[in-house]
Amino acid sequence: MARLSEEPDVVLQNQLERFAHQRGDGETPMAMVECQGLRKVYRDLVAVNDLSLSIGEGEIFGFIGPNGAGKTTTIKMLVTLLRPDAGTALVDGKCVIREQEEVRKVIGYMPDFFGVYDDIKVWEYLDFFATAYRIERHRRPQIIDDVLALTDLTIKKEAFVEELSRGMKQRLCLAKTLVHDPKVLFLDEPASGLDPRARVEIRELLKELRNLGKTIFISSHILSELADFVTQVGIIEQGRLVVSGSVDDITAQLQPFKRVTVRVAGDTAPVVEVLQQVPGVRNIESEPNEVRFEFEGEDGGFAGILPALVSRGCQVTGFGEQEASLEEIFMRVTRGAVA
Amino acid sequence: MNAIRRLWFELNPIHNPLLIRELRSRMRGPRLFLLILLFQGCLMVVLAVTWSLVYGLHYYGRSSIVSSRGHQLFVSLIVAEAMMICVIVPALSAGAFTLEREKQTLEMLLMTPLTGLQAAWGKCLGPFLVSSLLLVTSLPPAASCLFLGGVSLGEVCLCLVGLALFTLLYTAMAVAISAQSRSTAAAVFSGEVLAVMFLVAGGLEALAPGPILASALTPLSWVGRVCSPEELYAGFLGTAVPFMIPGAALLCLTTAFLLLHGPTRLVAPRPHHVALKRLVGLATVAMLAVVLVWGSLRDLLSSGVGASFAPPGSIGGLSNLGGLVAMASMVTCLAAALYANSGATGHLQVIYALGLRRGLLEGLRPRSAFAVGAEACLPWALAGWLVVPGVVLLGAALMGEWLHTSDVPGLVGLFAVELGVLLLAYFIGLGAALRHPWDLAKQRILAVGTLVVLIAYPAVPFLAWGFWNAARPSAAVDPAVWASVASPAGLLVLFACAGVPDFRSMGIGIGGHTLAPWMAGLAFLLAAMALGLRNVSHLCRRLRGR
Repeated sequence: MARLSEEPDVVLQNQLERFAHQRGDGETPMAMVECQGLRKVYRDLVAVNDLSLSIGEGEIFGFIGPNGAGKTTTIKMLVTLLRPDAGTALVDGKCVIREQEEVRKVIGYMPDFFGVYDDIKVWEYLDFFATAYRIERHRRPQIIDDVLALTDLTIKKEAFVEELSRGMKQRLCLAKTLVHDPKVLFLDEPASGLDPRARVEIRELLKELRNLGKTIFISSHILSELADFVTQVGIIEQGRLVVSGSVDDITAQLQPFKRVTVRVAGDTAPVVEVLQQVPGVRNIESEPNEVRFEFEGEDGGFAGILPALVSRGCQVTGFGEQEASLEEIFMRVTRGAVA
Repeated sequence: MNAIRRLWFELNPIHNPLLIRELRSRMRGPRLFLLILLFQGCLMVVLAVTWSLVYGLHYYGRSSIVSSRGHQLFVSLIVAEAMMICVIVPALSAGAFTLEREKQTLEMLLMTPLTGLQAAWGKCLGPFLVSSLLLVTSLPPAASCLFLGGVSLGEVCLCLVGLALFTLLYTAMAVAISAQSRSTAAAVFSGEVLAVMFLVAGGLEALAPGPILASALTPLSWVGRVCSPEELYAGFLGTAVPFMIPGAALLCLTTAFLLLHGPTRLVAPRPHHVALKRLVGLATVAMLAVVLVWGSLRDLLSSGVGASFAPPGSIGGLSNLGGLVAMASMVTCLAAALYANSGATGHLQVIYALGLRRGLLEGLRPRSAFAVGAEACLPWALAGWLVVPGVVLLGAALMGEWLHTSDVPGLVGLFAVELGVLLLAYFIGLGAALRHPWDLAKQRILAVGTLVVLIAYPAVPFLAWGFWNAARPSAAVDPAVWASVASPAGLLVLFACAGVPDFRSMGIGIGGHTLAPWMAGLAFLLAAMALGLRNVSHLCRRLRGR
């Protein structure tokens, strides 16, 4: 564990001022998590290098990268457990280096690997963290019941923590993260090591938290985990943020054409014939009952393709754009190296 | 004012989640019950052995070393408690933060708004309350000593208060070490060694002819002085001060400093903690100067050391020193026994790594290999700690007139016993490591269990003899006392009763010579050698087999 100190730092002060200036305080809505030029070096290994990102309130930020890319180090810097070697980060407008106490009050952190205490019941475990977060005694029972209900662990309230299954422990850790009602959640690989059912349960839980308006920073190396509910994505490799933004923006940026699949009943030759005459269509691939092609151009032109096919008598049973998956984006921007 | 209110909040046990959790988890399951059972069992053995010994000495008219049965029973009881506390408390509390680290719960704990002081205080109070429970359970046997006479209620209370203060200090020390350590094993070991050193430091205090202010700084000198009503007051600036008052203040200050400083590596200290730590640190140094330099050293230099060596015909201060050193080295033996097998495992790993391509060390980095080597050296470092004071003591005895009145051959035999026990501990550890190379818990249980049986077994015939003689006295020399010399546990009781025993004056031996401790020492050394040879052959077979 790195030593966490709070000594004033002139360089840091300058960085913070510059940061505030760039943000234009009061003019634009404040980002919930914002960092600039974050850097962490372990001896001769640069774990995180010049990492900058901004996450708005209520966003779900998927932080993706191969193993050893620097995800956990970044999260540990953002949750005040590691002091960055350079750069600065704000969570809810508070500096993670100089206002550790304030930052810890507004965040909930779930580490990638964690243990549980022996000989403690589930409600006692949550009561321990509620007391540690200085929640008044009379409010604790209700809060514990609420988080247990949210994480679907009410039935295990009186069970001993070490008897829970791995998935339940993961949910309990999430419940513990929620006892003080944090604004931002930092979840480091929350579904790692879980079976498919437990993974789905965690995903449903995260969707529930999104509906509660929490800002969630979630890291994973399994892309399908995040694909259907993140609003923003950051891909990190070798300690550098390779790409960051909303899933749609990144897709448009990295893949400016559409991939379309047409399903037909009967022969595909007429469909191919029609498509060859449409401007912007390329890479047509024909298979029995299915034709795939790429289209680059205006939406108006794209809208005319289906009517053209129908008017030529093609028996179209399906016509749809194949959305670029996170996996594809990931494979496209990363080179397979690790930090 | 704000800082005081914050401090009050931090120290209030009701608001401390760590204390509540520690008590919940420690009170569940059979562990605490077994600990109390073990503690009480040891106390019962000590009481029974002392009772038998005291009875035997009274009966055969060799009662010069005992004044009253109740008093003697109480002294051995409280000394045994002090030594057990010394071993138990660091083991209970040194895992405070390292266990959190090893179980991967530390990060979640550090993320909460708990301050360093709150964390250390909660972690300290849990084991302290458990240890205090042990002290409370010792009240019934202490009360039985009250009924026998020779000990007052005030002495009982003062001794227990002293032990409670030392328990708090040991706990704070172990928690502070734990916050600075990487592994629980290292933290427990460091805590144990420090606690034992505190115990041994009582030997230096015994150089003084009477109570000094520093008497309150080690548990044995505290209880020793308290148990002698005429030694309660120490001279200070021409007045008589109860020695335990500045001592208790110093113990509390040191505890506070350890709690404030310990967790600073884990949690950034708050400004009011930094200010308080400086204040407490200054007060501790000032108090230490008063107690050690002004109040004690002055007295020692003016009369103490000379007086200890001077009077021929009496055992005096040096004998007390001998007794304390011997007692402490016996406790060191036990501590060594606890850790000898981890050292043995270390040696085993080194042997495997040197002798085999696919050794246990395979894949370890040089730093880890160094750590294994260091671990392997620990029992030998403890052996050094045991032998050096012995050599110093013997040298002092040979130089002084004490030679004429004391039993030097007996002392040599005594150290032979201790060295034998240590070697035995090591080879038992090696055997356990060979038997269960991957299971450290099993190794410890096997090694410590065997050793405890070996140390305590001669006490069994001794007890039988004692009780037999109580009913049917016959022989001129009490065989029970004779038997006790061959038992480390019996020796411990003898030291507790009278410092270094003069075996000749007790009539133990053959033809006026002190043979019993020699024989016992020889037996232990031979047993150690036999076990060592067996283990080495086992190891050779294992290496050939692989």
